[in-house]
Order: sequence, then C-alpha cells, then structure tokens
Amino acid sequence: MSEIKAGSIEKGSFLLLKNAPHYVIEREFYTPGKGTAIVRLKIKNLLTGQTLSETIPTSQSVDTCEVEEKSVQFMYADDHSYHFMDNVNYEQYEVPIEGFEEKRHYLKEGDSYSIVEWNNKVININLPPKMVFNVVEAEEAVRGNTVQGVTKNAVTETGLQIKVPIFIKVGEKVLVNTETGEYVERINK
Amino acid sequence: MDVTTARKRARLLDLVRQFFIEEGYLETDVPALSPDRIPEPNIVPFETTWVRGWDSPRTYWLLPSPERHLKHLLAEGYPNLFFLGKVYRNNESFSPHHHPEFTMLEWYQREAHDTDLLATLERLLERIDTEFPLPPTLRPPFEFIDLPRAFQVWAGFDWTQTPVVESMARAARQSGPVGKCSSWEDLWDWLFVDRIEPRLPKDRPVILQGWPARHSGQAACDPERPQTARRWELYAGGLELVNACRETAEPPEGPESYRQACRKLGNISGAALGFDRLLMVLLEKPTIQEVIFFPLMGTLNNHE
Repeated sequence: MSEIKAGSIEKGSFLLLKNAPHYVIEREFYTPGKGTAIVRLKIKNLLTGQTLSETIPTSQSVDTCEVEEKSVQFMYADDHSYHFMDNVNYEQYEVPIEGFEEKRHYLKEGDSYSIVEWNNKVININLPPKMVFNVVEAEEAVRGNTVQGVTKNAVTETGLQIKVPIFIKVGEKVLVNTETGEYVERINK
Repeated sequence: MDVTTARKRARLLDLVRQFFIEEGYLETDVPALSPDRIPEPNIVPFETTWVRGWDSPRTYWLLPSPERHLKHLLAEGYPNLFFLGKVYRNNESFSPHHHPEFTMLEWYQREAHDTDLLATLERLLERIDTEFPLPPTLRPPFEFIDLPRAFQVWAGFDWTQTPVVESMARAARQSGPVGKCSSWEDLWDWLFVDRIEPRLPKDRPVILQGWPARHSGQAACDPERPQTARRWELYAGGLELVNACRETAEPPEGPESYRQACRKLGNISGAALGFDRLLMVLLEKPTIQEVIFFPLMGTLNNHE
C-alpha cells in the first residue's frame, strides 16, 4: 500500500478508503476565498457499487490501492457471470455480473476490455471510452418532423437502449460514449 | 486557442480597459518581479534568482497579486485605479479552472464601500453584455447568500459561535463526517467545499457575503457583525469569479512600509476579477486552457 497527496489524485485513480477500494469518477479542485486548496471527489466503492462524494484537503495523504490491470477478451455471459480470456496467457476469468450489471450491454463477444483486480478479486471492468454498435431496432422517424436535435429510441445488437437522431436506420452503425450511454455519431462504412 | 476565441479575448480586454478609463480610473502596472514575498498565507509564489556576476545572486518572486503595489500607489495619493495584467501563483491545483499564470483585473475605488464595488461590477457587466451576451449564469439579478446563514441551514450550525477548531468540528459532526483539519481556517474551508458549495445555485450569479473576518486577508471587519468581513465574492455557474472587499487600515501581516501605506488609505474598497475565467463563462468554454495562449499542459487529458 502506498500513499499519495490528495492533490495528485486523478480521475481514474484507485484509492483505499475505510479498507475498501474506490474508483475516482470525478475530481474537482476548490480554493475557497482566501483558503487552502481542497479536492472534492466523486468516488465509487468497488465492493458495494455505492457512489459517494469525499472532500479532502489537497495536502492530506490518502492510501492508494495496488491494483492489477489485465487486457482481456470478452467471450460470453451466462446467468451469473461474465467470461473473459486473458489476451496474453489465455487464462480464463469468471466475473460475477452482480455489481457490473450496467456493463452488460457494452460487452461484445471477441472485443477487448481491461479488468482491474485487487486482492485477487475483479473490482472493475474498463470499457473503451467510445464503442461502435449496430442498430438492430429503431423507431420510425415521424414524417414532417424537421426540428433540429429531435431523437428517437433505438436498440443495439447488445441490447443497449440509446437515443439516436431521427435519420438513423436499422442496420447502420453508431458510435456511443460508454460513460454517458449517449450517441456520438453515425459511422459510415 | 483558436483564432475566433483569440479575437474575442482581445476584444474583451479592450472593452474592460475602455470601461474603466471611461469611469475615470487610471490604468497602472506592476512589475512581474518582486524583491519580497507577498503576505498571503495560502499563496505560494514562484521564486527566481537575479544572477549578478559581480555580486551575490538575489532571490525574487513573481507577483501573485498586484494588491500591495497598488496600495502603495493609493497611499501616495493616486486616484481610483485599475490593473489588468498577468499574475503568477505556484502550487495551485492543476485543473480546468486554474492556471499558474493568469490574467487578473484588479480595481480600487476611493471613498467607497464594498457595496459600491458591486454597483461598478453591475455596470461593467451591462457594458460587456452589449458585445458579449451574458449567459444566464452571469446575468443579473444576483442572488445574495449570507454565509453564516448558509452554514446554519446546510451545515446545521453557526460558525460565528464556534471560535475554536474543536468546537466547530463538534458542531459540524452533527450533519455528517468532518475532514481532518488542524486549523479553524482550514476546517471552515473544508466545510465550505463539502457542505455549502455543492448547494449553491449553478444556474444564476450568486454573491456570497459574510465571510469570516479572521480568514479574509486584507478585508475590513463588519462593525455590525465583527466576526464577518466587509467582503463579497461573485460565483457564476459555480465558478469563483470576483473577490471584493472594503480594505482594512490594519493588515494582519506585511512589512512596516506596507502597514504604513495601509494606514494612509482611508476609505478604500478593491475587487479582483479572474479575467480568463470571465472569458470562459462568457464563451461557455469548459476549461481555462481554452481561453489562454500557450497554456501549460500537465495531466489535462483527464478532463477531456
């Protein structure tokens, strides 16, 4: 276990707080008025999945988590687990779905992801920031609706439900921001 | 910075300068290098060395604020004045809202209270609005929030009644966990960031008043509420944009020449405005790095 000053915590850091690993979702600095710098974090407890906020003076020390990140390929999911294969040594990993339910619709067979282990337990599945999906279902565009920015519902081959612009049709590919679940652009290929 | 932003930056600098000149202010300047450290407990200045081959080298500091120099000018009898230029702060957080070198507007009004500065700010915004339509986060009317009252509502206690760090920590613990802070001032800041700031309206401009007198630098005490200072800050969209106060004649620290200058100031109020942040808010840019030329890069990728 090592320590860092709270001022050097970054988005994506892993911290050990109250004996539990936490992932830093957001980090903001404040120097109120004539005061000292303070960092406010939005963090996720990787054991419980709970998101909370933490305020720490930047000069205070915080424990970091010794985590191991592995590059893996997604194979399949059964009722309880996701199954991955290590891209380097072909070892297989079974990761319980519980706690990672929201990742389900971003996992594509054969695609590469990284998993984060702490104390031999998988505590996070990292997605690429943006991913391409096929649109397999999309609502019909409403005729005559030409207002800019109008969206409709669509579903990808992985079951992800997204809002897309009305010109997107079934069979087209779209780029999706995996952090927000929002449509980014149409992929013309 | 793209050329469109650069043009807007140049235009806003011009407009702000013109506004103060037309209001009768004298534009002044201060050196970047100072032979003394500026007395601000939470500001770390950049240190540099004047190398003189014929003599021993001398340490200089880059100015973190023009305040001391401008007060010396005022003590010499200068009229209302302003400064619009670069200042430098070391050990500042590297964030989308901070940059170690930034442009500051600072102005001083004679025979003025802190509330007069607010009227000047309103006129400045009105002028800016003619060329840069003010976004809702900066468009008056301001919402006024009194800090002692805000702490009572959101942190559950009155800090004017908790004069030592232990009593404040005890009172604050009733509304949730409290950070480890050794001084009263640090704990007050911590509580402000943890309990107050997240609850401030982000969709309109907010004036925060009633700052702790003991933690307000060169601000004068409010005679009606001695625990608080005659000081206000403007927050726009959650971003601290202006810090203004009635200046004290008895500064808590500084060399004797500076203290003497302060005693000669009379009834003076001054305000500092982060020019780059103002441009950020006006152009609705998410990072300060997008509105300055050649920003220093660190771990900025984390904010993309």
